[in-house]
Amino acid sequence: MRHNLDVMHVEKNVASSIVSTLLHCGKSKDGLNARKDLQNLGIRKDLWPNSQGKRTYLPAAPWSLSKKEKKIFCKRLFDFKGPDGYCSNISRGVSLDDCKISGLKSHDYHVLLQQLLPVALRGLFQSQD
Amino acid sequence: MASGEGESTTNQWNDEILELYKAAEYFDEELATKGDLGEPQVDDLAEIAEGEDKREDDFLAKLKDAETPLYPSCLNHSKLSAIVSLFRIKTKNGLFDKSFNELQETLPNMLPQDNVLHTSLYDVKKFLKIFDMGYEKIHACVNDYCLFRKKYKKLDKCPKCNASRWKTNIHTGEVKKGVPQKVLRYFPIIPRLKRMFRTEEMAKDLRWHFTNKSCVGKLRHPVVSVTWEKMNDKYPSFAAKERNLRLGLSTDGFNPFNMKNTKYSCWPVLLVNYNLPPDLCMKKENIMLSLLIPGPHQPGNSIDVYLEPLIEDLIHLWKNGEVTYDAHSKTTFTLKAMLLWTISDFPAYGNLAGCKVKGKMGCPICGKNTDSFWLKFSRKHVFMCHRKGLAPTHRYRDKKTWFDGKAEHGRKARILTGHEVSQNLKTFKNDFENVKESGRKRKRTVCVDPVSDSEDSSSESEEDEEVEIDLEELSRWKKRSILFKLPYWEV
Repeated sequence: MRHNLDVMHVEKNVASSIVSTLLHCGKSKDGLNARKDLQNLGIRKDLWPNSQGKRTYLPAAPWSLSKKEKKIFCKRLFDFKGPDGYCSNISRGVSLDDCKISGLKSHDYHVLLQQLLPVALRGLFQSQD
Repeated sequence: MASGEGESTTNQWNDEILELYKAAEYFDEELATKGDLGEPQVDDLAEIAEGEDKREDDFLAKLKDAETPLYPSCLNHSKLSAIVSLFRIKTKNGLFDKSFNELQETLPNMLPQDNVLHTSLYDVKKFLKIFDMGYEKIHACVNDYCLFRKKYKKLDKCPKCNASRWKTNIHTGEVKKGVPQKVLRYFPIIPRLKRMFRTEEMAKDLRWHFTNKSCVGKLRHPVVSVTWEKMNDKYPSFAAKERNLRLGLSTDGFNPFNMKNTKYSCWPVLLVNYNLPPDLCMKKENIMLSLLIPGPHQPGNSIDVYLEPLIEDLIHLWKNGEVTYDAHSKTTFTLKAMLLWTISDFPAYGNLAGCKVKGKMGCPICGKNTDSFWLKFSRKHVFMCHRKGLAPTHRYRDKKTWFDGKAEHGRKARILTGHEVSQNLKTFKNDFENVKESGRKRKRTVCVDPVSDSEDSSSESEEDEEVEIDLEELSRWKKRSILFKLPYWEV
């Protein structure tokens, strides 16, 4: 069966969901329902939602960033300058005010996933273990 | 956004025109050299002319006409070059038809008396038409049941769903005969492939894969891929000829109207020519648009109906081949071609291969053994069987809390081969429909439907070999893909 998948497309989708999960916007894969499912499966006890009275709280996950950290993350991407022909002007897709990333092309996501993300996130996560 | 798109289309046009012009030029040169070389080549030409239809003769006559100088003492421009350069200016700057027309009317007056410039856009277009390859318009049923070709060619209604082939006036209900509801555009591939061999440079490039296999151990071109080698082993006689073509098919939805009609989705089907060197084979001028499946909604599972003309040509190119003139070696040969693979995103993968890509058995590789469970709150199926591929004693297999709370003891299942899939789907009755649903839920189509395709039943009766069909496996499939009609697809 010679059916192949368009890898660039898949990579773009993966990268954009990682970024939006980090910034908690758009197609974030983290949320109340995801946490409830964890509880349902009985895994990752530290991430289960806990309800206190009327409100339900989602405990911070290893990947969650505070508002300040999100700002730093976005600022780093905003200030990024690459060599000519490396990728498109990423700062054009980053909005600093509401901490969102949009309008990147699949090659930009490739660069982001392969090289920029580790640098942009350096020091933002507290070491968990 | 609209201006950006406009720019890109004009660019495309420009390239296209330039290519046409080039092709014409080369063709001419080739003819000129031919005249010098003497008898045997002339014989060759006669052979081609015989094989080619009248259109090619027309082409030659027009070409002669095109090469007349713009006016008797003109050195720089022939008729063709003048018209093409003017037309380029029109497309490049987006000149209105009207302004171009007026320009065409004034220009001949400025030139010496006996010039041959056309005086209207209509004439220019008519003149240039002989140089393009043209396309076929094939009417299609609005509900994607069938194409109105071959035995259905003369019908006014779809034989299955009884929907009218023609548009109806919404106010009077009158049928506008001759105005089709849906038109598939097919850009015939055979003449285009043949013309590629007509230019000397291109004909040389088309042999690149034969001599330039990389030996550094890096994949820079599909020629070193497993599939390529497997097909070479399987069909050594095909592989031995350097001019035989390997193609790739790719398709995806595309919305030509962006914000004006966001729901519209038409599906271009593109062919990639892998004979070319890596720097050329992905260039936009070498990627061939072969089918344009119209909207407004995507063909989905019924894409097979629309692929039919293309697949027929591919079968012809595989079984019989086409006599083609090669400008590099200046000989004729039989051109054969093979479809190596398809490239698409995941939903289109399901459409092309005919398997399910969502739900319980969403993984086309694991098939019926897909490990999946339903997430109650996120309301989706997830597939957590990644650890099956690990070594049997790998420590990750016993880590429960790291993963989904279970230890993994399963083994990776074998991937079904094309032959097995084909055997499984041997009796599958293809039933295409794409009826627009208005509120109601779609009826579940039963796999074994009494309505049968006559073509399918004839192919079934050829072999009486009893095959046990796994119903569970069968439930994973939505159709027997049309690609199985290609004799080599099962390998």
